[in-house]
Amino acid sequence: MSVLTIALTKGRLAKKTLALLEQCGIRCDEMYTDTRKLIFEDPDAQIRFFLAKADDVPTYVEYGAADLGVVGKDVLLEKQKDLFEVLDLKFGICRMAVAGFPEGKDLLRSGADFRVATKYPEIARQHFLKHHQMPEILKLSGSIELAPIVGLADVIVDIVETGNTLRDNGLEVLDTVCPVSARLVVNKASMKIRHEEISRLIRAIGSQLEK
Amino acid sequence: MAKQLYTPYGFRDILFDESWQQTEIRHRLRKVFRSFGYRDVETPLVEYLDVFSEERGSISTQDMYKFVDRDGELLALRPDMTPALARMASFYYRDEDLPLRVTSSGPTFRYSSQYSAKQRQLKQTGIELYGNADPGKDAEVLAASIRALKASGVQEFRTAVGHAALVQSFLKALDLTEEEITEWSRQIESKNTFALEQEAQEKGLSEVQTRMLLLLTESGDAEVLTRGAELARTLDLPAMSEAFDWLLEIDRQLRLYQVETHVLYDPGMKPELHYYTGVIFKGYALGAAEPVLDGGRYDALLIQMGAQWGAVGSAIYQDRLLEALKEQDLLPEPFTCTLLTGPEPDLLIQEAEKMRASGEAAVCVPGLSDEEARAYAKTHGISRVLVCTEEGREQR
Repeated sequence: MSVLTIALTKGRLAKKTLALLEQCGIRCDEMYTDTRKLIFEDPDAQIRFFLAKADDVPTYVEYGAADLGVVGKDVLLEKQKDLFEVLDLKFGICRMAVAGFPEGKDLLRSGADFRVATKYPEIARQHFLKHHQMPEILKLSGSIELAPIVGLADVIVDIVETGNTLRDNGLEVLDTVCPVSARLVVNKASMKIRHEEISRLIRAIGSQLEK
Repeated sequence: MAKQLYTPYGFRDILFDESWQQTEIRHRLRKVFRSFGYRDVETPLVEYLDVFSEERGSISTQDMYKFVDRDGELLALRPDMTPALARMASFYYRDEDLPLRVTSSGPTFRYSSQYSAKQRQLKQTGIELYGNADPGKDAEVLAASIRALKASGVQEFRTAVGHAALVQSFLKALDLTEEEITEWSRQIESKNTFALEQEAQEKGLSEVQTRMLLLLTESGDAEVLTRGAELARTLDLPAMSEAFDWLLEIDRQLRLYQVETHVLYDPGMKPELHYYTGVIFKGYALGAAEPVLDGGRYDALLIQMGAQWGAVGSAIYQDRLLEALKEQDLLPEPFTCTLLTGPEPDLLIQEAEKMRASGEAAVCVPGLSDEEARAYAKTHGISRVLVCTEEGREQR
């Protein structure tokens, strides 16, 4: 049988995922070396990994270029891809929140028109629709906190971990959208065709998490 | 400079070898369906929108190509063959004509999101079997579809088989809100056992209920159905135990067709289209990210159309099947042809006709140099070059 391919989200999530997999007996020394290689293999466990940008991980998995992937719930909610979400890995924990200056609270309640800056336009749209609001949504690519400070937007929708960046800039969390953590996702076709290997892996990871 | 014209987003040209492979695959599929006694029919590409309306349970009307004709009628490009074929069958056939077996092949159209590689025109070849509902008909359609996939040449594939009533009737028997039902069925479908165990505990499900909930996330051979049927009887859920028994009977018959190795029972499967009322199945092939086979039983649709019959059908997505064949390196051999060249055009025609009469393919391009002939052959997928002169034929 051919190897299983796993797409990992570059950065902290990848490190935590590798640590978790190591507890399950899957180790890939190559990944810890400073190399320009894009694909890494663990020949014993018949698994190979590659690193991708968070936004791209669901696409790799949806199209079957990777059988499995590890990515944040925020990206999954935003991308709405057609794949199976099988495990909450309980790391990379943070929350999606609406944030802004303290006055923003009244603005959100007032029913007045307002403007939202975010990296997650779909999540923002869905959240405000639930509250019967249809603000103008601007998609930005980074440093979202800047938007209310320079007057580009009234509030932001973004990931909040400690809230330090917000506080340092006089901003605060106005409303929580949803909790976020890393998830294990599986390609739908792989789940059927390579059912035995994949469920064995899921069970192994799942029982590590319960410890 | 003239404006460059190209195909609309989601549509593409299919050239030469691929077009030939498409035809060849369709031919292989239909030969199998024919061998099961399914007869060819064609319905139009365009139907009244009504045929695919919300209540029929086809895809969402938002994802259909709709338009208004000159008389103000709402029309749609067929997004799916089944409702159109059901319309046809219920219009022309009466109860005494049953069972009725039809096969049809052609493109379907649906919108997909931008910026993904997904196509909006998908070729399907499928079968429908109308008549009173029984597991035997389901087994026949499944067996014929699996045989057709085999005949296409594809090797690694599996068909997941479930039942539309299982998850719904189990969740409805629990004390859950609409939202919880949606969320739980999503968790069941994606086999998120860890989340389900937690929620079962929070909701205070009994031990047997929890076992059933987890069984719905399993998949495997008929053994999972046997356990399911037993649990359903313990829980006194007749709709569920009937569904499990129905699947067990399908499994028994699939063994007669000897196709059971390509089947995987998946009780947690969710019907993607709302018209499915009984068995549902989806076939996956290594190398294709999306199902190559899709089908199930849809009795309610026929009743809506005024016929008191049941129906079961399946469709093979040819484009995805080709993708899998390509990935598995099992595409049909491309068509072979010989290029004839030489100084005398008339001679070339005579030579080519001789070859054609003996079943070979030949194309004439007079007056090419050796180098030009080789270049031409390469561009046009020609495997052999012959130079013909009065002295004879010479291969280059």
